[in-house]
Amino acid sequence: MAEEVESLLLETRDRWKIPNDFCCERNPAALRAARQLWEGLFPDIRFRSISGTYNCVGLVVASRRVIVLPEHLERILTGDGYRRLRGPEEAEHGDVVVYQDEEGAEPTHVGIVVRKNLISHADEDTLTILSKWGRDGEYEHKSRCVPEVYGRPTQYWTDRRDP
Amino acid sequence: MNAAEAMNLIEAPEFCAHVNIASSLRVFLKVIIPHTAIKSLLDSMKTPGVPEAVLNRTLQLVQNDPEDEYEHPADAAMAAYLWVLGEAHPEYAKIAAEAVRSRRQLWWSRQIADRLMDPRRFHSQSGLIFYCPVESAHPVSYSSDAGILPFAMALPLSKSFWGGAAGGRIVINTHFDERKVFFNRGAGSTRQSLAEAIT
Repeated sequence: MAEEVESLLLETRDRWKIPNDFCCERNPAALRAARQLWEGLFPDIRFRSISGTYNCVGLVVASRRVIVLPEHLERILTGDGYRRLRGPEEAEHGDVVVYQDEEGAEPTHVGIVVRKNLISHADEDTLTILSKWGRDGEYEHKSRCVPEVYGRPTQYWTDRRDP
Repeated sequence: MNAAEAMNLIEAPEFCAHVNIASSLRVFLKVIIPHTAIKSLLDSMKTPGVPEAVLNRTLQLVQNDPEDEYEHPADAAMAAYLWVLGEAHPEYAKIAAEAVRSRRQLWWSRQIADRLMDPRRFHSQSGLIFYCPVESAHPVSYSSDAGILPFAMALPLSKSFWGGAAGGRIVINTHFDERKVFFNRGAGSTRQSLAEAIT
């Protein structure tokens, strides 16, 4: 008999139940190897934390508690009252950046904008992102400085309100 | 790179670190499929004895207990083996997937095993008859993911037999072709055990 995967009760603001998976921690040696690998490949990223119990979507929408599949991201953001911005120029700290690969169907990755460089040259990567790289580490990085498999940042979402 | 070398790489910590960059199964597969070790192992699956070695190694790894509350250290490797078996040897993949699904503290291997075992998600669109009584009044049990095909006796059976079977408990809404494989346009039907099918 197959074991059932556990999950937590999570809902969006419009009361949609967010599918999620409660996942056990990865072995510390495996986590150390992962950090070593990615910091070696991307020397400019800044390590914050590492755990296998949540993923990038879990960081953004579930306070680092569970794994949430990227296929649910748009439904969650919409249900939580986020709206899509026109591009990176409109993004501010606290906003959400979504990555897609060349297939473009569902997101591959998501992160939170933590800084915006206001003085920049044309086409310069102005946004600094905090994101969880799969079930490996949580890193601060330039928005385009991610593993190739994530593709590139394509969508920017905000929940900012200014009455 | 031979099969043994590829398997060593797949079980190395670097492979585990590399593939856990994925946040979804789609990205996980996108990471592993072009990986050198995976491509080499897949190529080697045509060599006699290699599919059995991969199956045996998967079953061996499954039996290893993970430390305390931690994830099984060979989770990523087992996921890779399951995918390779699924591509090259579906019957062995099913055996390995059943073993994986019986264990806890697994993530990627569990997801691939679920896909291999669940035709609604796998959408293989194909199936193999694994029980075929000669009397057309009997129901027919089948699998739409993988299975054992023990019947040369299926060959002389006419299509009308299958029409009769379709009126039974399990619907086979497809045709039988020369390769003894059913293309199951009804992929998603629950596979029943032989005991369930004949009661």
